[in-house]
Amino acid sequence: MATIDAPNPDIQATGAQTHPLYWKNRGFAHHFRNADEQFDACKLGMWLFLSTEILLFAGIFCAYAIFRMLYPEAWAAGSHHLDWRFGGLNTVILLLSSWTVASGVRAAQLGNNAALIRNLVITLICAGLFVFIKLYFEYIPKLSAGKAPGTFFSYPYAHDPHEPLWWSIYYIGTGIHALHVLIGAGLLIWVLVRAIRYEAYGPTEYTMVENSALYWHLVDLIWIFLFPLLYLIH
Amino acid sequence: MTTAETTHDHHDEGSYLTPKYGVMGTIWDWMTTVDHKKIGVMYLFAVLFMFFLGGVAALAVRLELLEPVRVAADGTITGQLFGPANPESIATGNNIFNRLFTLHGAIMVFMFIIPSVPAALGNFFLPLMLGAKDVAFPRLNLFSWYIYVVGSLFGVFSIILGGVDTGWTFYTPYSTTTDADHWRVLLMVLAAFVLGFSSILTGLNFIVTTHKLRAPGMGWFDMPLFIWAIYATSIIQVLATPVIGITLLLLIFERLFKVGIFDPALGGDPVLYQHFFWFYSHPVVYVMILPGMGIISEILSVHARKHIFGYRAIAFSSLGIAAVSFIVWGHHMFTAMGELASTIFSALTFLVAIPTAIKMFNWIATLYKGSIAINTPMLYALSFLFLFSIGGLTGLPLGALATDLHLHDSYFVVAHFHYTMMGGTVIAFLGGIHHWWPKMFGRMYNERAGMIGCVLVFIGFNLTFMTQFFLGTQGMPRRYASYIDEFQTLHVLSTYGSWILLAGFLVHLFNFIHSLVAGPKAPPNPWGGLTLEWETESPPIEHNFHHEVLVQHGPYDFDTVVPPHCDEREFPLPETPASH
Amino acid sequence: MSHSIDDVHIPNPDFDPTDPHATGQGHHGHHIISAPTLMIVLLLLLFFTALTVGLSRGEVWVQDTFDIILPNWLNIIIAMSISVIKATLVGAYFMGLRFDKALNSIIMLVCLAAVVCFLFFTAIDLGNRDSVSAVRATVPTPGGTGEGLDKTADRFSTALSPRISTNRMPITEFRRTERLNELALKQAEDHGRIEPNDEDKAAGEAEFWRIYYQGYVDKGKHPHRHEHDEHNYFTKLPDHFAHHDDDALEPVSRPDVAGVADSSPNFSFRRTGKTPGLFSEGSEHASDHAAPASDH
Ligand code: HEM
Ligand SMILES: [Cu+2]
Repeated sequence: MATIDAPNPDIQATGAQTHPLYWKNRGFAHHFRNADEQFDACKLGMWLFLSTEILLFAGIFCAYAIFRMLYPEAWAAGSHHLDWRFGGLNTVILLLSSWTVASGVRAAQLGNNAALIRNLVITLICAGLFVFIKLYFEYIPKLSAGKAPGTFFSYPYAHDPHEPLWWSIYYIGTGIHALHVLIGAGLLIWVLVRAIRYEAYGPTEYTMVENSALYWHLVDLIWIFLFPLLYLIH
Repeated sequence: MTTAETTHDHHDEGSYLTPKYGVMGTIWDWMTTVDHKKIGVMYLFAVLFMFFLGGVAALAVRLELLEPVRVAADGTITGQLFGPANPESIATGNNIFNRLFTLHGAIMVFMFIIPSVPAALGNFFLPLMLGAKDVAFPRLNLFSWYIYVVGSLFGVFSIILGGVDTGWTFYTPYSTTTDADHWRVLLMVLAAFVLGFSSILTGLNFIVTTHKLRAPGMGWFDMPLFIWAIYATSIIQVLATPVIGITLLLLIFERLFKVGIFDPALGGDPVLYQHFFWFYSHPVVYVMILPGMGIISEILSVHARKHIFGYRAIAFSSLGIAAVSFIVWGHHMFTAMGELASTIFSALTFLVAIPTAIKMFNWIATLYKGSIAINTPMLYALSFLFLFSIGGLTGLPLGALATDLHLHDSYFVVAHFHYTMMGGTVIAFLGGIHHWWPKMFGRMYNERAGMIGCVLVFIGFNLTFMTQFFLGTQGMPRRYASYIDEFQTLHVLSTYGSWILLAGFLVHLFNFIHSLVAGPKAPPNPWGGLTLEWETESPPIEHNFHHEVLVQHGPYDFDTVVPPHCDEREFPLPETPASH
Repeated sequence: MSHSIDDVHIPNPDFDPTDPHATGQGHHGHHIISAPTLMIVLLLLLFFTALTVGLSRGEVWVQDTFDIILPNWLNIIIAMSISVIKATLVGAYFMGLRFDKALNSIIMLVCLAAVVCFLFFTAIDLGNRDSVSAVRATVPTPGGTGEGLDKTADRFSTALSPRISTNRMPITEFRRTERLNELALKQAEDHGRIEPNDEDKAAGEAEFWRIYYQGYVDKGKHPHRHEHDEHNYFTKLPDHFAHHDDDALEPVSRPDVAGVADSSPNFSFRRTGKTPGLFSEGSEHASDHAAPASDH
């Protein structure tokens, strides 16, 4: 956040290590008393931000809960159109990526840039896979069969008159979640680029890694709830 | 209060207002600044501009209501302000009226009152009062100002394109179907959505600042009550605003794609929208009032030279209000809900009155035996006590299920929330601006003009809105462009009141301009305040304090501490300091 | 820059693992979570994922094998409990809450409390419309009223959705009718007719229901849920399938209490005297139809 780039003249000039973004060259903004305080502040800010994200999704969960309560049959019928195997696979993918990103933070804390890069790359591959499965195996076939939200619904064999509502919740919920996957991936790409180019993260400077990782875990957390709610009803 | 020498001092710095570059350079400097003081001032001007826009709409609404729309036997129309005066155009006139009150409500709520105190005064004074150099995330702070501006531009743009007639509440299914041939509603909804982000980021920033950047020696209970209020406000902003985000997003989807979640035509439920909306919008009324309450705590103790009565009670009641505000939203939808939920929400609503009353009694006790200075901030604080009592007490019949079924959607509700939002927040905001004006701009304002303005505002306000309580109980519904003849006297009085209000605001405006241009230079601590912002220069220097601050006394220890930069003869300590 | 936050202080860069931030002051260390811990947590998470899928499959199996229908809440309780465990694991270890400042956990808890309030009170309202007086029950038109979907302006519409006129039918029914017509037309074409006759229509319908139940046939299952389901619109269709007739239910109607029968969600009635149904004999009758079929 407010960590600013300033070259440290004492550092020897070797490769990335002269760059102001190299982790040993980083300081803290003047309005904090020390780097620790700044780190804590950034992390506190991130947790507050995560709670806003949770409340954002709370709206979707609330609509889901109300309609499931009112129209349980529609929810069961709608869920039958989803294949739990794709949902399950995506769950595994996200859990794996959560693990790699947590390991990435660990690598940064230990000053192991190579491991950080490796973990971030695996995480990003997982993100790509997740979105690919979602789009290619789920959204596209379903939409082309007319299993679409609201007035787009054109599937003639609905088993319950409230099925379009189910699809609305399904697409909005998973869609906003997928958007968060993309945003999270964007953050991680940024971290990755800085790690590769400047060795920007190390034991004294890994705020950005930590916070992007927190965001990524949040995406995982939401999915942990979405998965059974959407795929495992009967 | 003493200050300690540390390594990073800022001795030779000038005021934050001193321009250091040429004209363009200064503008650029302000537009890219990360200084919380400049951002606070930028917010101040932005919200005051929005207040002006919303105010113009309000005056127009009142003007239309000066006379009911009457159709004479020969077909001539009187009393219609907007649109050509022929019978066919009544609908047009009503349509314009609907757009005007929506414009007024949406601007005042989303663009003026929510950011008013926290974003303008909060930004300026929160770090100062904490003894910090800046807020925790200065760039985020600037970013949130830009988001605010972009959001407001969306709103203004929507108005230029012809406005919105949904009311500020955007109830479905009307809001998803009206003006189907235009983007206006989408733009306005988008505006509220974007403004939400600004609000969230400000709140987040303040919470972190309060936790992490308190000066050494300042414990939680050494913080000024304004900080407590802002802190509680920020909690609400962070927790409630995302819900309006998703609500408005769903509304946008609903309009664009007809997804049907809120649309009975597709099996959805419009009452669900109301739940979503009020889950945010009830807590947000406390986003509006809590900072105002914080200002009142400051003004009363400083200008009565008394230790605030019941410090902890006031501090905790702020948090209490924040907590309770999340479980009472249903009182806005008594007519839409089932009996069980209505009854529960009605009972819970009464809880809100408790922390509010605690504050009220503590303030009054603070005044007891104080040496009260009658000046503009104090007059405003006293007005607040009077007006907000009425506002809060009239909330109770609205919160009671049985009476609300009669009063709901009537002028009684309009009067209630104006007594709370305007009689509460706006009055406190004006008091706060006067109280901190010397600090912010380094100039004194004209005290007499300020007091005249305050009296005009007070009279005008009561004339405008007291009448509306009576109209409401007699059955005048809100959001109507016309009314039966029997209501005219009260409506006329109300409209006259709005003109007196305008006069009051104009007096303030000229007073402020005069002060900026020719006001006498302000001393660092004109009122003898003890909170940290009075410790530094007026206006504060670039990095707020010359030395790192070390807090050694409480913010309200008027009995024992001579205020910084003040003469003991001017602000004498009581004869027997330890007697109580 | 005038007021610059870029005025930074460079800490001693020499890395000391016990003092990762190298500030030397007010220091409390940053917990580095060990690799085995992370691995164990991952395995636990995968295990719980398998468990939740397994249990949900198990419920289906129990239903099919013993030909019973498990209550609706069972599925939610099981799935959500496991999700909560998984979320706690992610929060505590991957996100490090367990080793972090308590404040961050408190923030999460407060946030969750707000979520709970939101869900709880909204559900209280929408799930209990009829619990004090039955007349307030939400009896929505199944699938929606279908009204006004084609209501768009003459010039252009900002809605990107298709403009359909469903003739006041819910959209599902509308799409079904569309397809029935199509199928009938196809039958007519096959027989060289332009207008489908009754025979074509019947054949088209037969084809429709064949596809409709194909999913169950494929899985070798009997679509029992639909038989017992009074809220399934399609069970109320006349004589397509014999087994539907057996279970044919009375049509849902509003309670036959004075003044109530002729009111509808669109037309209110005069409410004078006692709340109808609350104290009278009719109360039982009034409430049993209105509760949504939440379990079977
Ligand atoms: C003392 C505690 C308060 C209570 C018990 C209370 C109660 C209520 C109730 C029951 C209503 C709904 C009336 C109806 O629509 O039928 C209402 C409306 C309203 N209140 Fe309050 N209120 C209180 C304080 C406040 C405060 C402090 C504010 C703002 C600063 C406020 C702003 C509003 C607004 C804006 C509305 C109307 C919203 C609309 O329908 O457009 N209230 N209040
Ligand atoms: Cu309220």
